[in-house]
Amino acid sequence: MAHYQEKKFKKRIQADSTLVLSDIYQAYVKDIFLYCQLTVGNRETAEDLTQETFIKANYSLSNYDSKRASVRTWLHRIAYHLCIDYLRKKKRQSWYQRIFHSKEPHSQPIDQIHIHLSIQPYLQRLTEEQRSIVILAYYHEMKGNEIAEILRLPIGTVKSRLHYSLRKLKKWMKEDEI
Amino acid sequence: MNHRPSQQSKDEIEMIINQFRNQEPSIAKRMDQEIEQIKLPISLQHLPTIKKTWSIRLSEWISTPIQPPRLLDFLLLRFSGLASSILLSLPIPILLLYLYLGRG
Repeated sequence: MAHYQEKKFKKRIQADSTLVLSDIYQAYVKDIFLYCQLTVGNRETAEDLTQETFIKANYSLSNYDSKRASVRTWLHRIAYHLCIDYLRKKKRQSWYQRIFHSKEPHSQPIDQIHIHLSIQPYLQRLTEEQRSIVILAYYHEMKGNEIAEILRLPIGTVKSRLHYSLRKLKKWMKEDEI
Repeated sequence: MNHRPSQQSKDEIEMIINQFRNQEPSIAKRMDQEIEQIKLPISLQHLPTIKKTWSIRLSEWISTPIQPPRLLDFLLLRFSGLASSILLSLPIPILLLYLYLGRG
């Protein structure tokens, strides 16, 4: 996103929040969907989470602080929280399923439709935080300070986790090739 | 804000990614192909459509009856047999007690 457009958004948000929502949506919907899709590994859930991100953004548009973060960073931070919440909820549900139901007739196959023959199974092996760092740095080409702001981590930690995650991805993918 | 961005750290993230791309071109290519496969769903392509979807979903949520907690569901299912057998066998001791007291 061009710096000029970010500046334009910031001015318009201060002037009229409803006016700018459609512009923000058009500019970032693909980015947010991509982030959600790669983080949760399920297209339908990613669709829902993308929608939720913009609903939340719409509600809190007036609270947006342009001095703290860019619109893009702010939206990704909302999406990050929603994805984390979803994944934690899913983890709790699968724990419950394991104890009380031995078979999961519907959830497994649907989740795996879109991750077959792709990078996603490897991304799913990383922790939620490591996965987000790889997606934001590699796919979204974000700078260290932007990632640090989204994940609320020190830049040094972002760098070391990116190093570690890429090394892991490389290792797993090479092992499977052999 | 705790983490002040520095030019050095900005470049370092880019450097790590570039280094990875150069060292592992085949893996990087695979990762790039992944992103190309992901298309934006039709439902997300326009803001007016998404607004319509939200309102539909909202009405769905409102009309959906509240489900009981799943643990309660489980307990009811597992112990309903036991509870019913206790309830069914209750008249027997009551009858015995009545007969005993009646005789006395």
